[in-house]
Amino acid sequence: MRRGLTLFFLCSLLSGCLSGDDSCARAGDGTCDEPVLCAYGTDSSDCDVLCSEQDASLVPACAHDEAARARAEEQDVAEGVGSGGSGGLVGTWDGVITARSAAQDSSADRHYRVRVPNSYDPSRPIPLLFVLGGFQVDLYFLPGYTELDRSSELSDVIVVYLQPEWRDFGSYWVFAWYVYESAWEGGWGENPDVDFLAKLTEHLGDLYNIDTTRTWVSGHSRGAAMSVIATFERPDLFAGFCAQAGFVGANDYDDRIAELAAAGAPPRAGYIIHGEDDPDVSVSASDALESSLEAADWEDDTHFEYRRLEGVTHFWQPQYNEQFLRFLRERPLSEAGR
Amino acid sequence: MIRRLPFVSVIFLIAACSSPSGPALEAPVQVSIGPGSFQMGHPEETPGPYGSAWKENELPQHEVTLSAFSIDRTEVTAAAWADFLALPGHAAVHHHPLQPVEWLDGIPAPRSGWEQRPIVQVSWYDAVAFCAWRGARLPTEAEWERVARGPEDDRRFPWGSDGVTCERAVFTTGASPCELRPAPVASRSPEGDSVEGVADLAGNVAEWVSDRYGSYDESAQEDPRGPSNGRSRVVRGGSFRERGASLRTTSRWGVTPDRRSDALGFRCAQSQGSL
Repeated sequence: MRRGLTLFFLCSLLSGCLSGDDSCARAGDGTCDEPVLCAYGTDSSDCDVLCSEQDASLVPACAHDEAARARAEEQDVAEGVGSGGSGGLVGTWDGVITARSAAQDSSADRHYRVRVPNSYDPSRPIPLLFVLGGFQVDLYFLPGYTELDRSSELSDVIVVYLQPEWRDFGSYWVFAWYVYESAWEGGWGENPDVDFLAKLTEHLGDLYNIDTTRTWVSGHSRGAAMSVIATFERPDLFAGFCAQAGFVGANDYDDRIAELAAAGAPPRAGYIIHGEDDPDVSVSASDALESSLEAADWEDDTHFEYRRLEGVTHFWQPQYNEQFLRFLRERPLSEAGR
Repeated sequence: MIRRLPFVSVIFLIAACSSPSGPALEAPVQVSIGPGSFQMGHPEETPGPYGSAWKENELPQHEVTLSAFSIDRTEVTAAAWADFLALPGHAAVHHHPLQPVEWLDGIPAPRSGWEQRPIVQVSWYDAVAFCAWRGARLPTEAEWERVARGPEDDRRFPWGSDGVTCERAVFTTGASPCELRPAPVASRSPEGDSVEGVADLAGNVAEWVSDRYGSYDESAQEDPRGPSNGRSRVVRGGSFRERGASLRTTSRWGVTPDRRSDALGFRCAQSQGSL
């Protein structure tokens, strides 16, 4: 109904549209005379016949009608639920926020980079995507590596690149996500990186009008493992994940998924990508993730999609950015599901 | 490799030409590409352990034979787009507030400084409508790649195999962009031109082509037009926002046709018979 009203409204503004008429004096002569001898939408019967017979992209009147139809549908997208933030910069900016660290009473400054598309309009809730790199990967490497700045513009999403904590690994220091439960005090539910993600979600929601039904976590390798953890630990915040070359078995998180599923955790949305020639994290790791999800009642195509890529190694696959974002966008959190 | 060397000529259309169905629009310079065959897609199949020399959607390489066509030497400018918007019924459908266009006394005009920069913030539908109005069409993906990689030497970039520099393309090198917005069209000519003199195929703005996005097939094809199903359309060429790897002649990705961006524009093409 709303779609029809939108279309009617737009058509009433346009000189030509799908609901056109035959008011032109030349209408009905068997020739589409739009837009030279008839205004758009006034020789509809003749033009409809032409557009059904020819490649619409070669006929100005038909191409114009296609664009009008698309424009009308654009106004009809699901709006989501906004966090209420009304300001915030457009473009790229860096920030720091404090979150808990390994010890219960410790904290750490956590760095991040935000990319807000030029099309951002505070009156419309906008999805939010967190991006987590792999082991030892600095956040400033991520925009070029993942090509997600481009996707921010094309898919209307705020993209936030996250820095792992700088951690003491005994003989060396390194950027690393907390994906092994023995690395912090408390259980999975007290994960320091989940705390970082939750605090930053709240902070960004105060700044921008974030779509709280479309907040996602994506990552590569160790960051992918973290994206799965975050989605399962905070299903109230995160509607889904994109895990590229990730794992759940090495850190026994597959057991945690089974535990949460047994406790009634509902499926969210997941997009899995893994190269079959990955020398660092075997593709069998994502096979195991797939099995864990299926055992937790996630259904292939409905709740998750798995891209197992022939010939591909340990590398983020930017050509799937728009696809995984569309998959997640079409699966928002429902209020009832929280 | 090429099977037949195509006949190539540059056509300078300096007079305004009439679209078959509407008022005149000034025609851009076009480059004529003769018929011929080439290998489309990336030739390598063995990446390094962290290989990014190609992406899996560029495989398999396959033979494509094309009929003669012509293609705009430059991306469509904001000035040409403003002329298009000025025609009755167009602004309401094809104008978007983020386009670099303003209204002066009720007439659309390119925003100051944008006259010769490529139009951006246009959907695939808008691009198709513009080209149709001009009596042209978007290039097919195969036509676009053929022009970018040249007739016979399978170029990694339109200018050859040398790396990307700010003298050859408008892109982002390391952490810093060559330009903070698209540059005027052909600003990197002749250094960044293709063999046949087509400008900005690598960088400046990425470009819509006509095909739906999908996987390649290994079989040989004649004048391919892409999959018949699927929502996304192919985008080619990389932009001022992207790094060198995205500017390769075989790099491609799919975008939903109603999307717009400040780094995405287009150019038009014509089958030879329609010239």
